[in-house]
Amino acid sequence: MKTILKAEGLTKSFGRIKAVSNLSFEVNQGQVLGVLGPNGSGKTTTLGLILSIKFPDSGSFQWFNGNKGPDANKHIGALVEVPYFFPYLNLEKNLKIVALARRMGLNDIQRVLDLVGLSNRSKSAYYTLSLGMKQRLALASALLGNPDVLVLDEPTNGLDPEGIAEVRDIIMKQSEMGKTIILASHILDEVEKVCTDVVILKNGEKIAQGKVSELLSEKVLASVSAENMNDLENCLRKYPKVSIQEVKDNVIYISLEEGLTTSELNRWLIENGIIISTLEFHKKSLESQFLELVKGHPNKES
Amino acid sequence: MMQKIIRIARIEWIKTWNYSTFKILILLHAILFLLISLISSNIQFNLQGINIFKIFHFPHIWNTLAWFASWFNLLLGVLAIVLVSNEFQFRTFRKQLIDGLSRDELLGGKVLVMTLVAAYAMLLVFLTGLIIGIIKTTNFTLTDLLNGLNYLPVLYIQALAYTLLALLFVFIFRTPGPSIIMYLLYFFPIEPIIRAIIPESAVRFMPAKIISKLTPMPDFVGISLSDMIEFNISGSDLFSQNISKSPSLTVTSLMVLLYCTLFVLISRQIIIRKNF
Repeated sequence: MKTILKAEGLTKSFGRIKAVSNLSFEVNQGQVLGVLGPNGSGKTTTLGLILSIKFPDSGSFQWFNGNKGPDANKHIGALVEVPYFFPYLNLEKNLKIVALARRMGLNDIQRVLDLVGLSNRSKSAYYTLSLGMKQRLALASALLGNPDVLVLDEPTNGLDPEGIAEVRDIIMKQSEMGKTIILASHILDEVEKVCTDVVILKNGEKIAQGKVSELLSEKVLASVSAENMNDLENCLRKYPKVSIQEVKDNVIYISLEEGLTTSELNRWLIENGIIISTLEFHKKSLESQFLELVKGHPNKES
Repeated sequence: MMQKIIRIARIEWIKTWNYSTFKILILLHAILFLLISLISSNIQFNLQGINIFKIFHFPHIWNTLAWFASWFNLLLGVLAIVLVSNEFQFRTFRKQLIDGLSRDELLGGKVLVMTLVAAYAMLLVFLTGLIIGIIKTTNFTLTDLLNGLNYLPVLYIQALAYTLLALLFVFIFRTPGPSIIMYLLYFFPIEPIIRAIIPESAVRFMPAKIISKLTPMPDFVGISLSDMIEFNISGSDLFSQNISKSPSLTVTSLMVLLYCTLFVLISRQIIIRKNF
């Protein structure tokens, strides 16, 4: 798989605040990488660094085997934080400037305006748009010229539920087309729905990284107890479809492999001579998993 | 390279030409200058009993109008500040960096706009001078008309210096308010105070001092007296005499161009280090 972006040890401070600290990650072609973290965790700074609008204090990165700065950026469609356009220019002229900056023709403007549903406003001055429309224009600007790589920072910011669904749909279609996408978000649900991989940030540090399906899938938890807890534990350890999360005096918490049913589990235990006294199911929400990840990480906070 | 410049020029054209404040300020500048030129050329000035209408004749009119135009250079500087501070306010410099312009291209675009604003100022003086000169000068030769035209490139360099200094101020202060205030205060009283403190030999190298020396006040009395002197000197002779009296105009121009380069280089040092 081709490496699209490789970042190593990126560090950036603003005064005494470390916005990003020793951050390394890689993005491969076709991946949708979520950069997830609470507000102020360094997501936007990270994107600012890889787009060369901010300079790292230390560390390095490279796009497409060696490029950075303008040479890389012209191949990247980016939407960073809130949209920035000339308020007095109409949408078409604003996108014209983007097209010229990206060194491409002006014939793609109508297509992207159509794509985000703004073609009827193409002659309106930018300042007359609602926040949601401005966000859509920013997305249109990112999609201009059909770039292979998209860098999106909170792309659904300020949109109504319908708009959120539409924008997610657009992003997922881009992903299906084989585009590489880096998406920063504090919305867990968004990352879970859209991304294939995720990097979780807290106070500028990477606290977790992996496949979304492994890190953020909704796991089924169960608590089991029996008269003989030792036997129960030994038996559960032998069963490949469950993994033990926590053992307490009178209850064992386990997570179940997807598709494993209660009766199946019960049958296994009975076959092994164990009669359970309780079996309870809990669904662990994404939020609680995320909070666990964030809270559980020993971060140097003063 | 040429392609690059054309691309940058197109971007700046869209931004600037569609900006109503730009058009209003340029129009205001043109109207004020035209009013001053037209009204003063139609008033009978009497200085120590001598009528000085000759300052609106070829070739003296170029000096006179260049001097008038220099009063309005600060307005062009303010215009420059408004244009560039917009990019910081709207955060569009940041946007264009993300879209693939380099920091040098951002700076280059603005320098290009300043060269065009200065060219506009020169063109305005040229057209106004041509019209008033033809109307007012009863009897003139082409040499009369062409003599003194060297005040036009000089005015161009001066206007460029004003706008590029404005560019530097806005790169330092970013927001329009502080940039405009500091820019105006620099011409008065900051630099005059500095000039009062530093040794005499260094005074003539201070930027505002040199820049203002480019368009000297016309020698009202000298020009008018020349008419009364018996042995008739033609305009061109008189002009070459003037030149020999002030051989430093070329040198001064070069020094101002040096300052222009300096303003751009400092601006560049600021922008290539800036985190957007």
